[in-house]
Amino acid sequence: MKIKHTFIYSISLILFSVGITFAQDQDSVSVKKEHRLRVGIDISKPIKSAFDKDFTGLEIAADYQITKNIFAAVEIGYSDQNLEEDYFKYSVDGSYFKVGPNINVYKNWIGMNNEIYFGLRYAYSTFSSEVTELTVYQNGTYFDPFTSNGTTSFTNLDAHWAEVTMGIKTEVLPNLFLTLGAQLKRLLSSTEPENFKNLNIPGFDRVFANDTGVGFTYMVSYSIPLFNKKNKKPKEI
Amino acid sequence: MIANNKTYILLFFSLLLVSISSCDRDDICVEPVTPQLILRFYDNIDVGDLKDVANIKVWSEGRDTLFNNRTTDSIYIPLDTTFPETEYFLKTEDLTDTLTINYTNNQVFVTRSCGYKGIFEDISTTTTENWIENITIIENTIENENQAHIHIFH
Repeated sequence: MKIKHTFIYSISLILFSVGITFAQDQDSVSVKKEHRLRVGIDISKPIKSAFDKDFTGLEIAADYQITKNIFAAVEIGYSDQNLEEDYFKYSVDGSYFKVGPNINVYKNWIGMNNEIYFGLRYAYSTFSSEVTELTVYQNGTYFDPFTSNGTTSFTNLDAHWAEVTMGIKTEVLPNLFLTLGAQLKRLLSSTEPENFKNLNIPGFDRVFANDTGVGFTYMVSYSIPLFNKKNKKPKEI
Repeated sequence: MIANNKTYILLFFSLLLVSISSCDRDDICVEPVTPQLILRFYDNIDVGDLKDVANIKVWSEGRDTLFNNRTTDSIYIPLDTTFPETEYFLKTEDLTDTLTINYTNNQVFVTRSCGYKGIFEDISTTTTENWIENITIIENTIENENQAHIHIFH
């Protein structure tokens, strides 16, 4: 894990923990109909796109409340990355979607809509990949190692994987939610390029040696009122 | 729910910590990479017998000497991954031969941290015969160091 990512991540943890505490101080009770639809965007990706010239990406998400604590969630995104390893450079470009349930285990006070959730996802990506530079790895320097600047392209690749997700969602303003989430990923199958490997997949990110991966999301989402009934009841003691 | 909120928050953070620390270390190259050429020296008369080369010196034009004055029946020497030919001078005592190895260069992907290794296909050789009598190519493609690739009889 890069130190920078760990640092940002820890700061976010602290901020959202504060957010939960703060969100529990509201007093008025508004009873909304269930079946809330929320639409959101992962804000880390546009921010990263702005500061990292080797990354362009976007992810939008939606979740729909089926019962009080069960939600159906879907995420759609794309990414285009230039990546560098010790002995070669490559790029990966593609889009993905993920779908699955989230289960909230946090016991909200009446009128609160915060969540600690656990979820599952099935995910699919289609993408293309290119190796743009390489130097062969040899022991010793008796001869200079072969170096190439030619481009080898791999198209029509795809991958399926499963995710276990978990996160904290807090309603920081009426209908406005902030989510901090993490995912553990396991590649199920993928088309392997010839004489190369899928080292990074859009939506999965870095593929580790045992076909696993991790991810983090920082989501801002808004709850769209599907039903206009909103009964404000004063709190009865 | 079976547990209270605090328990879930704790579980959540522990799972996150596990997720960070469970990432496999795949950033060290431990696999075999570009193979060296393995030469084994045999007796030209009793062709099944290994025969040491006395005080062997091996070098390529304009480069350092590999194996200065060793006496051995097998040597590992690097091939040029960029050019389709490598030329070596092999000297024993006071006799020197020029061995030229021709091949087709190719690159094979190994892992993330190793990148690609060079391999050598369609091996052919020419040699002068001041002390080398005969050459047999055992492996037509050099892509690993599992066995000798060329037998030299002297």
